Amino acid sequence: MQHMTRNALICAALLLVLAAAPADAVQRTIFAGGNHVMVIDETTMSVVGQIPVQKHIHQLVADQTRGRVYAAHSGGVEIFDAASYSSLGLFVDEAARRLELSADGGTLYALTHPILVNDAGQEHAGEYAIRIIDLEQGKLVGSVTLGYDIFDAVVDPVSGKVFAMERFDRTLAVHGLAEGKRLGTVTVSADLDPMKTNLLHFMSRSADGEHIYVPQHGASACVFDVDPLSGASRAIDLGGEYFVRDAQVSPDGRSLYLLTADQLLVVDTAGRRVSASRGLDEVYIGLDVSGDGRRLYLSNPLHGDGTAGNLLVLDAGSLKERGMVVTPGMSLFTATAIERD
Amino acid sequence: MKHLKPLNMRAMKLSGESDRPDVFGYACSICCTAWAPGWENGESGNVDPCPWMSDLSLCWVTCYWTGQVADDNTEPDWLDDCSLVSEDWVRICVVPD
Repeated sequence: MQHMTRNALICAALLLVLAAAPADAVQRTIFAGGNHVMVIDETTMSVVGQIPVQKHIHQLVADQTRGRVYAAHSGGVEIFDAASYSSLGLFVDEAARRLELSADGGTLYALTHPILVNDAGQEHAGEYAIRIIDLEQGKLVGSVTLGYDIFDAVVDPVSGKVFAMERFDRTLAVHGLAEGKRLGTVTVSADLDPMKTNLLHFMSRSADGEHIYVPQHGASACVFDVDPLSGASRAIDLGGEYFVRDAQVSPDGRSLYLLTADQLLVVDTAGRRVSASRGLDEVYIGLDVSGDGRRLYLSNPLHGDGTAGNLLVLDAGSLKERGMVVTPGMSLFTATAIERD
Repeated sequence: MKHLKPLNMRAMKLSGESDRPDVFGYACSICCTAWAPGWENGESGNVDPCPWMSDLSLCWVTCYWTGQVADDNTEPDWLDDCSLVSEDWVRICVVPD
C-alpha cells in the first residue's frame, strides 16, 4: 500500500510538471516564401527542405487542421502538404495576392484576378474577385467580383462583407458575400490633404469581425479602425513618421503588429495606442503571426551583404528574438508555421 | 573626392561627417525616390544607402516607381525569376519582348 501511494504521488507530480510545461515547448515547422518555399525547423532554426515553386509568393497561410499550407502566388492558389513538402495542386489558376482562412478553418478566401488578352494580343488585368473555396469539399464554390485595380481586400465572414481598397481612394468598397455584389462605400478618412499618402494595402481584421485595420504611413502615420457593421472609422495615432511595410492582428485581437522600415510597433487595440516597439537593424518586408499568437515571423529579402534573405523569429509577447534563419540565395517575403506533434 | 577642400562653413561641416555615405542621391529617409540600381557605390565603397532592393516587391504600388517597375496587376509574374533580389533583378523583364 505504501509502495502504491508513493507511485501515485510520483505520477501526480509528473502530471503537474507536464501541465505546467510552457507553451514554448510547441514545435513548429515554418514555411517561408520568396519564389520558392523554404521549410524551416523552428526548434533548430535550420532549413530542412525546399519546395520548388518558381512563382512570386505573396502570402502563405497554414491550415493546422488539414496539415497543409496554402500559397497565394503569381500563378494561383497552390496547396502544399506540410509533412511531405509536396504540391497537391491548385485551387485557382489565376494570379492570387491574398488569402484568408475562416475562423472555423472550413473556408479559404482568395483575392485573385485573371490576365486577359485583347484582340491585339495585348495582356491586361481582368477584374479582381474573392474566390470562395470550401476546404472540406476541396473546391471553388463561389466568387464575388470586386472590379479592376483592387490593391487589397479583407473578407469579414462575421458581417458577411468584403472590404476592398481601390486605387487612389480613401474609401473602401463594400461587397456582400451572400449578395455577390457591391453594397456601398465606407469612408476611411475624409482628410484629403494631398501631402498625406494613400491608404495602404496592408489591411487586417480582428477574428471577431469587429475591426478592420487600415494603416496610413508617412508623416501622420496612423491606423484607421473601421467598424465593419456601421462603417465608422477612427484613427489610432502612431505618434510619429513611419513607413509601414506590413500589418497583422494577433489571433486574440488584442494587438496589432505593424512592421515599419526600422521598427516593429505593437498597438494595444483596446487602449488605442502604441504599447511597445522594437528596433530593427535591417529592412524587413513581411510580417506574419503564428496560429497560436506566440511567434512573429519577419521576412527579409536582403540580409547582410545581400547574398541571402533571412527570417527573424520573435516572441510575440516580449518581442525578444527567438532565433534567425539565413536563406542563402533566397529572398523572403512571407512566412507561416504549422505546429508539429 | 579627397582633393576637394571645403571653403565655407557648410562644406566644412559636411566634410567632418565621417560616417556620412559618399552618395545619398535618390535616398529619401529610409526610402528611395527612384529605382536606379548600380550607381549608388560611393568612393569609400558604401553600397546602396537606399533600400531599393528590399522594397522592390512593394514599390509598384506603395511608392511612386510606377513608371519604372512592372505593374503587378498586369504583370503578376514579373518577380517569378527573382530568387535573390540583389542578384536576380537583372532578370526582371519589365518591357515585354
